[in-house]
Amino acid sequence: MLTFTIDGQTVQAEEGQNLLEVALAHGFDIPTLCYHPSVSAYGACRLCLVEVTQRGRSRITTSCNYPALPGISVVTRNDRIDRLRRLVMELILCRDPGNPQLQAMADRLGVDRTRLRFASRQDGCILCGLCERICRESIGADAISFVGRGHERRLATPFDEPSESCVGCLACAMVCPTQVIEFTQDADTRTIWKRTFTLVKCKECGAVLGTPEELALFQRKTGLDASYFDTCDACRKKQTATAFAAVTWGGQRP
Amino acid sequence: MAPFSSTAELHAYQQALVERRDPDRTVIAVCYGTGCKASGATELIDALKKAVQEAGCSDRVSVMPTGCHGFCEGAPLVVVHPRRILYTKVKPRHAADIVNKTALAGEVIEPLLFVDPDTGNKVVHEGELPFYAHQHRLLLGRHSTTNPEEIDDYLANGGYGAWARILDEQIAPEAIIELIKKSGLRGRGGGGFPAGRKWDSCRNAPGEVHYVICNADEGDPGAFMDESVLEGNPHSVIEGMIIGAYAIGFPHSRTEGYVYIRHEYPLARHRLAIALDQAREKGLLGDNILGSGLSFDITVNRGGGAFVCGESTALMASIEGFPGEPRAKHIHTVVSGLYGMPTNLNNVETWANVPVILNMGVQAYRAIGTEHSKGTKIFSLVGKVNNTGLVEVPMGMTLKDIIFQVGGGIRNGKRFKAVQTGGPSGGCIPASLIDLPVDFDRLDEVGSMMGSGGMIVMDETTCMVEVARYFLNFLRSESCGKCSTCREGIARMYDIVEGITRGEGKPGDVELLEELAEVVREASLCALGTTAPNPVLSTIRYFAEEYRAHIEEKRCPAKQCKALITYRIIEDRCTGCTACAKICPTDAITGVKDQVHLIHQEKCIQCGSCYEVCPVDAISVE
Amino acid sequence: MKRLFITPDRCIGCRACELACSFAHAVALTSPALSRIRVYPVASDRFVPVACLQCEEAACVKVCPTQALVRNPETLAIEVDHTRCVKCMMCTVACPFGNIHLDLRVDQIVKCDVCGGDPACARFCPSLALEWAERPTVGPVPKPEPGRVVLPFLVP
Repeated sequence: MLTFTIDGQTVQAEEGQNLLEVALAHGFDIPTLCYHPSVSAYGACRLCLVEVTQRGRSRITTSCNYPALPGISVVTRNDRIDRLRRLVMELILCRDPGNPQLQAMADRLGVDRTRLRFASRQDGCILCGLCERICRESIGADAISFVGRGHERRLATPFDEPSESCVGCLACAMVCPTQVIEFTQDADTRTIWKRTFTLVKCKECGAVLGTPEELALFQRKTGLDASYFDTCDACRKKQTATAFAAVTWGGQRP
Repeated sequence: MAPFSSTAELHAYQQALVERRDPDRTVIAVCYGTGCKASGATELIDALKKAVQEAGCSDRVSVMPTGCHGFCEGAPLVVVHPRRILYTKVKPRHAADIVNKTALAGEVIEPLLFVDPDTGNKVVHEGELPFYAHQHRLLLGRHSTTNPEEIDDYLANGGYGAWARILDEQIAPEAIIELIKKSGLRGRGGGGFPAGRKWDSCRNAPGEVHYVICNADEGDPGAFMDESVLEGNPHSVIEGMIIGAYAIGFPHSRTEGYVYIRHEYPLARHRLAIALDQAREKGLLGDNILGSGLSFDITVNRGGGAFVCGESTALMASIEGFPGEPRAKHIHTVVSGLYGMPTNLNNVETWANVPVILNMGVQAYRAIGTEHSKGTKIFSLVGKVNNTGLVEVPMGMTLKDIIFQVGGGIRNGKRFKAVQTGGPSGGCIPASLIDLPVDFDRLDEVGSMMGSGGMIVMDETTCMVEVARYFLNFLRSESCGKCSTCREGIARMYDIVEGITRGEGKPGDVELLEELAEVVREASLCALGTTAPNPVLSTIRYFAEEYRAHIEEKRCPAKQCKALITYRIIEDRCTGCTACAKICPTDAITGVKDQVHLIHQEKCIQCGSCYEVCPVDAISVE
Repeated sequence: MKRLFITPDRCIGCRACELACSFAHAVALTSPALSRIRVYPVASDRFVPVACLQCEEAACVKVCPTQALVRNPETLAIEVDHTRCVKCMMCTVACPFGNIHLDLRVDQIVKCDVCGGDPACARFCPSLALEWAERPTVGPVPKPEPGRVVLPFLVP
């Protein structure tokens, strides 16, 4: 445990925690678009700026990838931080001024529009990389990656072709802070990143369970038997009730 | 032959080499750096070899390709040893004369000599060239006498001697670090961090491997210092790295070396690979080097062409196989760098300084330079200067001396306007600061930086807004794109500056640029972003008037911004020679021979070809 | 340490637990259909309430790629950290008892969290079929006559 202050309040943190997670856990309000507690902090959006004073020296830094250190003092808001965050928001808004999630964040920060020319690619992607990190770090599929650099940077599967590594789990689409990763699903198939998966169904009722690749990956990762992955939750629950009945009332037909 | 297993064997070999070599042997050294190669040095070397063969004198005369001598203005360069007669702009047709007259008969070929434009005097010997005379070539000095593809050349000149002496005199690794600290050596890659302190922190960081990396990902436009050192004297870098590995990781840890070299340096890579192979053959790399107990080898890692990979953490990510993106350095790379292990990264020039310092002695080294910047610095002097090339000068030499003494002044008698130092993240220093002594701290003070040593000289025909646009364009493509501030910020600053150069500037643009500059500087992660606004800020700081002229008067004072200039024919000067009409790519110029011509503005694309070709200066630019 | 004990033998099928659960976790609307505990009739007079068993080596925890399922050390219940969950649904597939679900109303993964240490289902169970206790009550508990169930929350 180590101790430092946030906006004058003394807080405790574990070694290895970053400032943002400590601040959020203590109820401080810091805006961010690229942070997710399940994956490593990346520092792409730059909204979570705070001022850190360490050994008498102050600096503006992103809180998501700044480690909690004993004795530092952190300021989450002042005029300068607010002004810089608004400028960062103006820059991010250039990516897609009409995106509702971005607009909501802009409203929160008091930015009503951007004074800057819009980016050439306005697909709502703010290149926060959450999709890439969730896919690589959490799912373990590593199907997408940043491509290119500078103002041409974007996210893609290798060579923009359907990725063999993608398991179609949709985690990327779910974590996307601007909700712009497209996927479609009908009764039998799911399509994402240009790859179409045939869906596996519950062996009892036919409800959708997921893609075969996804189920195989999770089975492999957990070492659980394949039988764990063939029935939906509703049918399972019913089976549980039947099993409980058998335990309670014995083999006799109730 | 077997690899050396002790310093005694190395010394004996060197002794034998020196005895076997005839110091008076005639050697025709041809600069075979990238610049001279591009100017035809390959064909020249072939022609010289053929001429030697035809003259039947291969027992007395040899032809030696060398690394870059630095005087690119005279490319291709030839130096005939032992008298060091210098010929410039040599063509293959001169080969027979050089062999027969100079090499065999000792005659000097007058037309191939360099003529000092100031005095009109012909320069016969290499050392008398004003370009070299004002330099202090600690690192580059041996380039014209060394074949970089022959380890024997390096050994015969005392190469690997600094390393051997450490072992002979049993100097402890900690003592080496002390020496480097005392020498005042600061990293030549840009930041200027004291090398000895870095080594010390790395040595003291726990880890089962200590990595030693040479950053050869030199990416600044117009900079080729590191390339030249690797092409001209690769063993000096290898020796520096061996000493570094010993000082940082011996005996408590395993050490491994990497050279991260940019893809665009095929020749440097080729020579480095040869040098590494030769060093391994001689037992200077590998297990238990010279019986010291130190095992160390160097892997060459080729960069993919991203400027940002010159940033240390991005470079390490790239070696690990990840996209070259910097990470936050709250934990320094000397503690947790490559593969999470303690890693010491220095650039090519820094490593090459290490054996030099140990050979010449710390006191002698400290005598060169300024109070806080010791030794020499290599600059690539380019732009509108007479002597473009690679210069090595003591720290603290003034801009004026570098540009006018070494560089020979501004081309075509034009007026010096500014010099851009520090690469794309540096700044433009105006003529009013020409007496500035060049060292790490003074350059920072004026809003520029040392960077890796690029120096782009600009004259009155350079538009400073256009300069800012050029560097922003470079940076918006070379930002890794991770931080929204750097990626979007530079791109949006580019939009604004580009608009200004096209005459679409609005009042308030400069203020908006300054606002964006602040957020890019303050809120970006790595040095690429935090320094990216420098070209804009320094030009706004020193050349505000030019921004004003572009924005308010829609006028480019340097007459470079195409959207803001008009070419016209001055009627009473035009002789009707038709040269302009012939060269005009859009047929915008019409006229009958011997009569005054006319530029049709609707067709003109402001390429300036007519202006350049007109023999009577009858084209005006407004 | 208290745990949720289920004794199907005592269940009278009144479904008060389902109602209580859906109230306790009410978001926009509430409906017994959205309860995390469910009562399954297996015969005309035999009912089995099914809720999360908070398994020691839980398949849901094992399968979760984002460590969004975390055991609360105070209640021993496995809880969903919605800031971490990416709704991959693998927990719902992998749970061998079918006790973790996607709640479409709120688009969230839901499961029994023992209401943070005072499960509503047990509180409102009229027949001790559900108990939040150190150990379960042993022995038969007389069943109220069907149709004469007095639900605790209706007691004046």
